Amino acid sequence: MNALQALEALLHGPFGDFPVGGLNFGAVLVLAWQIVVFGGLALGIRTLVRRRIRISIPHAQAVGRAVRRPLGDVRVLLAVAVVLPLAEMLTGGYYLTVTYNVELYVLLAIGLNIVVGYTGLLDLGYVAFFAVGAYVYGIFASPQLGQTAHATFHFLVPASQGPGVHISMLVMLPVAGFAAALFGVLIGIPTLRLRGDYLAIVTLGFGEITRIFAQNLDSPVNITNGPNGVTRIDDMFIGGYSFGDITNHIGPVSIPPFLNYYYLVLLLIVVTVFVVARLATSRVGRAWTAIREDEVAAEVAGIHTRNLKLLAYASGGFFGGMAGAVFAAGSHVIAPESFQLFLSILVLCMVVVGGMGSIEGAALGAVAIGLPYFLSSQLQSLRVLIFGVILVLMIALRPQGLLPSRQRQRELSETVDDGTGAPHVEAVADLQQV
Amino acid sequence: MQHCVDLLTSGITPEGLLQQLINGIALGSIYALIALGYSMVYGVLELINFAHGDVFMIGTFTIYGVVQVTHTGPSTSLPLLLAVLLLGTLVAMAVCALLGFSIERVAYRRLRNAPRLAPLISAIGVSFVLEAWVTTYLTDRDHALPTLISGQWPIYGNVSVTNVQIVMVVSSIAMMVGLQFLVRRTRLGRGMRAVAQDREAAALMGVNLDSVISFTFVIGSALAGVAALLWILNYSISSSIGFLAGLKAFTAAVIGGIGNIPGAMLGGFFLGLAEAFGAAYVANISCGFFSSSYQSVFAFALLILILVFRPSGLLRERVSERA
Repeated sequence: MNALQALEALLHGPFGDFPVGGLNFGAVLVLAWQIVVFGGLALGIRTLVRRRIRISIPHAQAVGRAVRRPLGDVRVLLAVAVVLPLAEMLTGGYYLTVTYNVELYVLLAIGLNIVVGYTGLLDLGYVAFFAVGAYVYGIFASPQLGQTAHATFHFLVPASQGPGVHISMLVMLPVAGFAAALFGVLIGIPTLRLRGDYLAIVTLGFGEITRIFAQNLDSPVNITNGPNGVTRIDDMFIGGYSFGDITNHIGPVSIPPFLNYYYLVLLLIVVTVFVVARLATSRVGRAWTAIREDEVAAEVAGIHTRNLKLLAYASGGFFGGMAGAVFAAGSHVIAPESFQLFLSILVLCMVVVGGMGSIEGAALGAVAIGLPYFLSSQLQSLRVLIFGVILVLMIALRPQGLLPSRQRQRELSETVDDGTGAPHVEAVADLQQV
Repeated sequence: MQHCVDLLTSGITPEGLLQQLINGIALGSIYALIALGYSMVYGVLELINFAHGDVFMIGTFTIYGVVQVTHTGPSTSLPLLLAVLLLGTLVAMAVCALLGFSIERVAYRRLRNAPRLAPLISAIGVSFVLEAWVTTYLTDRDHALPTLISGQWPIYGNVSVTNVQIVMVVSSIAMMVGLQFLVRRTRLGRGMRAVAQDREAAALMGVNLDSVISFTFVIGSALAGVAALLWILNYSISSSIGFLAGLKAFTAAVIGGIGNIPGAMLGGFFLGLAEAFGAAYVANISCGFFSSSYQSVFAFALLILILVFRPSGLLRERVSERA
């Protein structure tokens, strides 16, 4: 019995099933067990923490600083990222696949961070960009268009398994990025006037609309191959080197396909981090921050809010689209169900839990959420439950995120301070009790 | 071209239109009831309570459980059947209310002064927990009740209104009237309106924030329990119904103007009608290009259109201006 099964058993408690009419009424006992055991545990921990919190906080901060300094060093991180998959190859392919998945989410989180973290536009439809990138690559690098051409112009294209279109990844990667960026602008234009939660729900709608279109655009002209999705998508080629060729090897060591993709995404992340970090401190980045803080004031100060908001969508979309293209090449198959709303929410949670508005926060969030999530895939629905509990706990303990940007941290402490030195929210609470 | 004209002329009949009108209003009454819960919470906390749809889902399972435990079926006599459904609804309302209360206590209360996105993430977390809990421990399949209430009233040609549809519309309107009374005429309602306008000022005026916010969650969630009854009389249930129903209800709340009780009702009916007509006639109107599998697209497209042209909903939001 491994650790995950033990966790499963612990959560379930010592109760059998008691089915009535298809429902397991034993679930009520399980619920009681969970409330008593874990609720009691949580209360106990809370009392312990409350009693000691004043002593432990300065130490915690010192420890945090000590850990943060080497991990904040880009060279250390990069070295770890380069060596890690080589170590994982020794333990078989499983961990490599997990790391590769987490890595894709790091790229997505950094992209979404531009929209949500820098510009303050709450986007719940980020999966749309990922989907557009994946489908653009999938359609132009697979037999898909050949089949469509045969079905539509069968007198011109004879073979039912026509050759299709196969454009190199080197061309398609930027193309997919730009297609997603264009899509971002298209989504952005009608939503320019919306703010906050309205924007969230509209972008969520766009994400769902994208998926439903992908699911239904197999008629009248077969573009996306409907619910079955695009299959037999090409691997990436550089010269004669195929990323998906399992016979690749250096000396006696064979190179698994995911290792190639891992380093490709790593390269993309390095480029993305460089570009985004430069953008964030540029005139554009400062304008984004201004829009996030107060859109009206930003506009009055001469910032062209419309263009800059569209630029934020486009840049976020660009990186999402590239991630989508790599995803399509790595998995060879894309189908509408790969692009559920859940993915948008997962990425948003990574950004918020990591700390909005900081690249390292987004990356850390992606690792902190993605790693346990992908490692526990054998738990099926139970892992979503655990994921939910972790989200609630993480946000309750650190509402500002694990690594919030310095700038934002200052802003947050300013909003609580009303100038007289007394925190003003607490002042209200005190008055309420009087 | 002729094909398209045929689709337009022969596919759309007055009887069909009337039937879709009735179906849409019945469907809309469910959305409206769930939307009230979203709208109230949003009005008071400015928070999209993502877990509300899943509270509703738990409500449907509660009623289903009550019906199963009492061995109620189509052969049960009418008074007994009504008593069981009433009992089920009351139990579901209690379960939902307790759940809503606990969710606010555990997941939102400490985040009231946190950055804006923090409670949203917490809400998403709670939503995942509820849905995954039901899938893991209660059931992972679809369930449906047999037709318990039958009978219908012919209106025009072969168009008819079923008894279930009458129950749906009447109970949702009754709930809205009751809620409107609560918010407009009672002390608690005055507290809710005060908190919605300015939380801190309300606290300074002696409104007990904690109890007002808790009551908002309790009432909104209890309404979801009523919506659960209407749902289970018509549709099958599974652990995943909460998210989409919640999403559509939130859409309805936004369409009507969030924080606005008649607006949530109007938005619910509007959305129900749009979906019913959209699903029935899109093939006719678009010459067969779109099919009814695009049903959810209409809801979202409608939402986007309304927000683009009327960013604060059909009946304006009642929440004070926010940045």
